[in-house]
Amino acid sequence: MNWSTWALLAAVIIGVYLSQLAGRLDRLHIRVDRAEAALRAQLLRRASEAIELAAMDGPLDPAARITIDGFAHAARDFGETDLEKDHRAQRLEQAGRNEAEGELTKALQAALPDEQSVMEYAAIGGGSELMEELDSTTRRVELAKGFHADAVAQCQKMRRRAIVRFLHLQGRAPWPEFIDINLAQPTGFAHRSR
Amino acid sequence: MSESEVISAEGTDSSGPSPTHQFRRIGIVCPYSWDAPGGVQTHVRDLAHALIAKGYEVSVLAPGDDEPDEDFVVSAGRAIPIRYNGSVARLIFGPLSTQRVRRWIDEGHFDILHVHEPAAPSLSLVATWAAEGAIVGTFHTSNENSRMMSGTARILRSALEKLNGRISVSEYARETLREHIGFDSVIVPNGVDVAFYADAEPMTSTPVDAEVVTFLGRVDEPRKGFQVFAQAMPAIARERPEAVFYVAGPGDVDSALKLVPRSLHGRIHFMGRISDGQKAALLRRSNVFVAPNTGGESFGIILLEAMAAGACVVASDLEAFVKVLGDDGAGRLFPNEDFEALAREVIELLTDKAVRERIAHHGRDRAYSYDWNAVVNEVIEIYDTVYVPGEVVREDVGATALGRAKLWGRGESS
Repeated sequence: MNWSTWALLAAVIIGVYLSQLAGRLDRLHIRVDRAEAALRAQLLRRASEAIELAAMDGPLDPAARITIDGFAHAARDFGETDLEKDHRAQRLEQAGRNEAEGELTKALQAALPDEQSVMEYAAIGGGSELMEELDSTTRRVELAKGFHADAVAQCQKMRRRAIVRFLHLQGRAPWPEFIDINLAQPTGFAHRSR
Repeated sequence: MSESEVISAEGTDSSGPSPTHQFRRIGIVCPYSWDAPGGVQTHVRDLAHALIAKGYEVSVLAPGDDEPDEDFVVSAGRAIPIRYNGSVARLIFGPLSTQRVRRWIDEGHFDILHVHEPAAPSLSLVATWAAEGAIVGTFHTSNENSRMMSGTARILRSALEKLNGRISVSEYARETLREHIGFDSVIVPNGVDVAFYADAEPMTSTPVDAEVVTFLGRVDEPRKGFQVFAQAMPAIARERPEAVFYVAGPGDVDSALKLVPRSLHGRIHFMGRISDGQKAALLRRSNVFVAPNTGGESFGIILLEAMAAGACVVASDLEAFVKVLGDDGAGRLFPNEDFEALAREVIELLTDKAVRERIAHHGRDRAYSYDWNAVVNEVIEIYDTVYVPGEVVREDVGATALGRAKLWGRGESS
């Protein structure tokens, strides 16, 4: 084989490597997007269930009910991010929604801090079902946030590689960001998991 | 010997209309942290002092991280910082605080329960919900732009139905209440302790000929309007070489300084969070007091405090401020957020001593009509109308599922 054949072979190998790398990167971005969509879906469920909780004339004081109702509506009403809007507007909307979700987490925690508060809810009509749903939803919210963080970490690691940055393999995909909000499950549910 | 004789024998102030009924024990709920400064906290503190001076026994329940200084204050524990109504509020709610509120009501044997700002998701709302008896509520907020969820209004209405007497501190607070919840209320204005400010020793740390222009409030809370004041500073400093700017209130000083040209940094004094005593001394030394608030003010007690101290007030033309200043020249107004107009007013007042002193004089007169000594009698009249002799404020056991279960159990056993 002469040198030009070697060069061709090398070019093909490099080409295949790069296209595989670009493909991997693309898949990682898709995974981040999917993970975020999954988390948003769980959060939407959490907001709806929180609104139900607030509407119930149960053992919870009206101050807690109003707070939960307010933040749950705020979180829910940000709705789907409008892709027509520019990136900045989207970011702002996202920030507002994230803030509402974080405050909702705090309000739910204050409302359901221990086993007894959950049991008091379970004792009233319709309360038992709602507590089970909220237990499962808030746990899934935590899971979904973990999966998202995992995807973001991998994607960020890949994008930091010199070759990716040098050849701009990510194309126009935005830098993946962690969702840095407190989405912990209320401690009142802790006894139920496992 | 009757109750009133005991009170006057102790040398307390028993002026004002005498109540038709004898009620002594008053429980007051303050929704915001006792250790943080704020209009509602000041109102509650002054009201409590004024009631104690009239011979009543007062217990105040308030959230707070620190041990309260006053022996009549009971801490309801740590509050949760939550963004509410555009700013960070420290609220208290949830089963744990409910337990504390219940215990306080149970042990207090109050004749009257007086809750403040019960329409906010707060300790006051928790107390209203958890109590039963003679309950009075005072509404402080006026809210032009709050969006209230229909669910929220419904929850509030059913809780606030238990208020026997409703007080608003201003016409705007009254309108807000009527609009959002559909309840009417009696207006009793905020009180100010005029003597405390009028008799305070002026701060001595500034040169005698310095012209002190003062701002009070959070520097990083846009509704307090520090940014408007900051924009007005260069013009004032240029025209009045002796002018110095005093800024007192919590918030991030570094980012506040960024709003002001570097050349002026030497003429601004940030005092941070100050005590009421320091505030009185500062206001007494202030030639001009600026209140460039851009919104969210329901009453403007701080204006009255400045007026009581003899400072000349320049305020933005918020409705609440217009009302407090009245139309007899007790202060100057400028169009909201118009920093150039603010600068013009301040420069004029610093330049013309006669005008400044005339306004300050009118201001103090006006402050006297809001003195707590007068205002507290109006509050006592309302207590008097809702008080049922022989009845104390009790826990409302129907308010929780557990309570309902107890009632149920009782029903079955009887």
